[in-house]
Amino acid sequence: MAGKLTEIMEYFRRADGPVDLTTVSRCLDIEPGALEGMLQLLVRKGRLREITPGSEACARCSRRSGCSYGQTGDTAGKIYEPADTR
Amino acid sequence: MYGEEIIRAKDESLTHLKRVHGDDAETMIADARYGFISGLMKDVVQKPAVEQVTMTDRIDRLVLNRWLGIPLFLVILYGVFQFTFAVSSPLMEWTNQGLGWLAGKVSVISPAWLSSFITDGVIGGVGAVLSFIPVIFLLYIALSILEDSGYLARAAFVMDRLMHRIGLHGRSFVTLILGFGCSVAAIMSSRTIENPKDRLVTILVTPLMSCGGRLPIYALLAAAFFTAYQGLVVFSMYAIGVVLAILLAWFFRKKMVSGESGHFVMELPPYRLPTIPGVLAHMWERGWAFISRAGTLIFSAVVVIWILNYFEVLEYIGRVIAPIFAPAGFGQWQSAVALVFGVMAKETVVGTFGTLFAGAESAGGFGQVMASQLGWTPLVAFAFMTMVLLYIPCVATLSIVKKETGSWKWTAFTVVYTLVLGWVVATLIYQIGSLFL
Repeated sequence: MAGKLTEIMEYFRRADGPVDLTTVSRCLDIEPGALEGMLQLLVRKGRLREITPGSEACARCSRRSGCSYGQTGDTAGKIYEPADTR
Repeated sequence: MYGEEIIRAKDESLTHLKRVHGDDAETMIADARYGFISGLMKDVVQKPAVEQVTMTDRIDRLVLNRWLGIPLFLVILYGVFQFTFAVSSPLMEWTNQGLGWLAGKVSVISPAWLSSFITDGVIGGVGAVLSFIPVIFLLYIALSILEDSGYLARAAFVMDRLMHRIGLHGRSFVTLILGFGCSVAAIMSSRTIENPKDRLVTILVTPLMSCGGRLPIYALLAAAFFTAYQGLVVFSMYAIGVVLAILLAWFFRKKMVSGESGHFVMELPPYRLPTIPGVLAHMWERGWAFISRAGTLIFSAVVVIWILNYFEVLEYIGRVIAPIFAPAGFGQWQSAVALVFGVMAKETVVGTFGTLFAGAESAGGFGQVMASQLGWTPLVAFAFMTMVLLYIPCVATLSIVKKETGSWKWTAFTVVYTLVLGWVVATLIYQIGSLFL
């Protein structure tokens, strides 16, 4: 990969923890509608994982105490993290 | 044969790609497509070079400027008073003429005591207070415009940095600004301050702000003694109140109610063009409180003052208290009595003068009578105005201080410190002023 998907994956690796769609959109300057398609492709390919705040997976996460999404369930869109994180 | 070759070539390519790039073909094709789309977008879509700057942002650049913000706030406040007095002067003249005409009509009523009660007591006292309705309503119109436009929130924001230095924050300044209307409502608004210590200090200094009840006194004396500088003199009263409130808040926070100040993030609404119905509604809400107080509390006070004056008890009371105020220049029994009754409601000071000097139909007339009978000069009038600004808040304010602090101790403290402060400042102004004037 050497295009947008690479850039997205690099962004997620740098981000220490889950990130929501709106934040990625703002940081990488990609329209949310276009970004969602890219993220879904990366999820389908097993590179990213979509997380539901407050879900069982979220509750088991070791980094839950430092995660704002896990604490408040407050998010401006869907949340993703690299699939090889946990 | 060819089919097998094609499939083998495809598999070799996939293996090669996977080995070199670490990704499957679908992902790489998608990535290349997104790369192409991204490049195409850059070529054909033009975005504004800078983010869109709203009108609110443009105005805020000036209004919230760290150097210009506070001077601009003072200029706007000064403009408000200039506007108020320039427009209200002719209106007040007409009101006074109307009251004079009414007094002339009822002066023929008999018996004489009833005529005196209506002309001196009701028209002289309550009428004197009501004649300031134009000033009150115009000031409230100006303040409503500032509030509805979103500027007052900016004024608090601009003062936030200064307030932090004295141990409070911008929210306290919002309460102080509301004190320009009425201390009771302002002190109630302090409930939004979460930190109890911040809140207590804000409650203690809010009575130092010039409320609507003090305005008739300023207006009367400014018109009587400072004809050419009415707006400036009244502005100075408001400014003295703000400065002393801030200084005392700093002192109280440091010496009496020390501890960490709460954190506060100021919310700034966008600027809006005030609507006429909105401004009028705000004006009426506040102005009506003034009128209804004149019709109830001030009327009762004026009746008591008239009765005491009629039976010559008032002068006796006044003469006992008056010497206390002699160092401040207003040690006459009339001014002492006015200050005592002013604790009921500040407007009563005007009502008392109105009853005692009934017949003076205009501010100029009041000035002449007070100069000849009391020996007042502009310096005495200014010292008296500062006394009215600072001394004991009205009964309604004291009761809300008690209710909101839940303490007789802090209520008594408010009475004592404001009285001492008023006396000291008025005396300093008079004594130092006498050296030069």
